[in-house]
Amino acid sequence: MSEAHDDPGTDGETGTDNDTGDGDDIDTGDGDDIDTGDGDDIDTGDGDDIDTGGDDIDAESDIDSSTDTGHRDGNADDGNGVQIDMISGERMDELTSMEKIRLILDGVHEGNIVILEEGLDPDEESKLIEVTMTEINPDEFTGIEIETYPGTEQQQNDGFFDRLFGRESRTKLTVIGPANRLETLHKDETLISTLVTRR
Amino acid sequence: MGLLTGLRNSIARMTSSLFTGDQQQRRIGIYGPPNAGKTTLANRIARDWTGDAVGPESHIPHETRRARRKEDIEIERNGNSVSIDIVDTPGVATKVDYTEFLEHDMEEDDAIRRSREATEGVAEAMHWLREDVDGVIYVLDAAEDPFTQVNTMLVGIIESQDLPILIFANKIDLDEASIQRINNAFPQHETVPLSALEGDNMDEVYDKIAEYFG
Repeated sequence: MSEAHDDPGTDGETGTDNDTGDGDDIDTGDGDDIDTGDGDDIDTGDGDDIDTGGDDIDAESDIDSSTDTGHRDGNADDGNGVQIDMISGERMDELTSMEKIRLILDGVHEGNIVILEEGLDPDEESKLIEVTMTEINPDEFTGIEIETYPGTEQQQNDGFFDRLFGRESRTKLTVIGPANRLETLHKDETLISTLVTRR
Repeated sequence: MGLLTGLRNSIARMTSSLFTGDQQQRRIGIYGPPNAGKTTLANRIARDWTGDAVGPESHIPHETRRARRKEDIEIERNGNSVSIDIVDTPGVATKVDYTEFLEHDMEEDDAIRRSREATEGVAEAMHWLREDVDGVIYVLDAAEDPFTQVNTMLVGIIESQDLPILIFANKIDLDEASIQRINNAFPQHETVPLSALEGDNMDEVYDKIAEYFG
């Protein structure tokens, strides 16, 4: 799907290159076909196609998902890839609501895809929408695409007292990116399939 | 509706009643994604009970870019009278791209201005939701997939504030409409089918408004 370039600032300049170089690509492995009908095909290379209707991307040859988290000088997005920041729940727990939103939107403004291990709580989601709206600029930033798995039965049943006493279960992987670079192809209770495009 | 969620909604309505007092005007926000028919519904309710409209309707997204309140709407059901304010809000989105307005034969300057106003409107709608509404009517286009991130997030935000919420499956006059799809997306809430444009099923709509927000 993409290459992860510079570390998003979580461990500094380690200089470690974790490029697996194994050529493994995107393989959903579940036998499902996803057809969004908008013109681009993604061949996941396992016999299961994500057919979006037009241009073909063959994961075996065209998509390099090998992970390279080593440090590179200069801009993380040098035009050859998309930076993905995967932020742990532990790191987010140390931040205030506005710090979380700033961390997310600063990354998104740079064109990065931000993945949150534990997501945001509803109040933070509300503020994220509000702050995003204030930062939209017609020529530069059109907003965010955000996807999470839907709330589980447990989360839906969390009651007033669960929230009052901090017992709310909120673990929900969340993907956020610039609206002009991240496109959701398919979403259901167990699968979020997105297309990330370069600038 | 899930037992726990139903119980929670009942407690929310009862608590709201205790703290606001039955005499106080309830502000009911009409929320939903762009083009779900929120203003058409607000106009239908306002015209039915006051004779006035709330705002202009359009098939172009983000026609409503400022929250508009219509006060003192008296809805009579079963010999009782329920008095509410309705707040028609801009459609909530996480992105606004002015180029989409160009597809509706709009000049670029107008499209850019509309997008700027739309972003302000969405921010305003979120602020109203956090601070200034006592209940929510969540309007969905029954002909569209309800299983979107904006819908999931907004319903979650409303639930987190323990506000009473009614989900309206609008546009049931369209062939592609599916009430079941909305039921499946939000099984924890009661879904009321209607066509605000055609006035279909409005009796049940007013029964439910009186039940939930009265």
